[in-house]
Amino acid sequence: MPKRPADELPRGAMRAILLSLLADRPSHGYALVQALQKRTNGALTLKEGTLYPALHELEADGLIDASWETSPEGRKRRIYSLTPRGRKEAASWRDRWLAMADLLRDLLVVPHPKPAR
Amino acid sequence: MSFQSLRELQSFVRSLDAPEERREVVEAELLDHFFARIAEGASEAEALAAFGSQEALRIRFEPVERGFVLTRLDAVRDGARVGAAFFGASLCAAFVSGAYWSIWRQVWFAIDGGWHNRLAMEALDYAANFGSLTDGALQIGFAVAFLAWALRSRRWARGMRAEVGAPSLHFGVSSGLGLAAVLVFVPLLERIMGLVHLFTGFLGGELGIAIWTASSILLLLVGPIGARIAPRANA
Repeated sequence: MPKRPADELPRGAMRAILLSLLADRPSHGYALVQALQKRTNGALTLKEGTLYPALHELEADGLIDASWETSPEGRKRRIYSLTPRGRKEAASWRDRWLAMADLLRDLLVVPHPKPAR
Repeated sequence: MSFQSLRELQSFVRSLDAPEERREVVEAELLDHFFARIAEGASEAEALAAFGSQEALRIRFEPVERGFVLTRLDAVRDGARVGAAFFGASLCAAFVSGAYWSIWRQVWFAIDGGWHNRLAMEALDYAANFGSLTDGALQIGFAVAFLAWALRSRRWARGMRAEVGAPSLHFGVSSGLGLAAVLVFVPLLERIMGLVHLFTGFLGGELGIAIWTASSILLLLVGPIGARIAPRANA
């Protein structure tokens, strides 16, 4: 039986994943957590303790913008969306990680042993 | 140690070493997240435990939130960017203008020395008027383009709090520092203008410096005004 993927976010992938999720649609923090769990069937999770500092860092770097809205329950809620620079960065990160995935696949796939004569 | 109560979470946020505006943002987001989890069926203890250790949260939040404050060092760095941008703009404007007048003179000499063509001479007159009118505009156009590129991702334009005062004052300080940096290197610029003259035959080296000086003063005056429109430019 294949091993389940790690339930911790891969190191260095946080920015790429957040930008990728926000490329789909503007979201607030909790919605991003749910979106990632849904897309990975629960294999990956975003910890609250790392999520919001990471979002604020992206905001400080000018890759995402934030605006306030009111949630259905009447609470103040912050919605994040990609800036034009953020869109370019998201595409760049996607290409880099996909290239890395291809490289690792070629490196780690064990060739089938040749049949004995 | 994780949070034991909502009050402890709120107290934690108030104790963060971060600007007041940022503490409000952090509190609103953490509370929204907490109540969203409760609405999904989690208990208060589970929702609080999801935030993890208080110390780890502080270590992650504080450097990021403090980064939203503009410091004097930011103003100095932006001043250097403004100075370098304006310097580059002056060079580009001088070369483009010099090349234009050099070509103009070549054509003038060719027409005047060879054959008389009234239409061609009139066209050259129009070209000369166009060149004179656009010399100053060229300098300012390059300056605006270089400045927009140099400052395209500056955080101060995103409504951030500044140690040196409001973002508009930050821009003014940066512009002033940039101008001061450029003025210090005027003798160097004169040598460069001499090189421009050498390569392009442009006789107006002194004119170029005069245009540059006037544009520098204009830049210093519009600096604080520029900060007002910068948030829209960065949107």
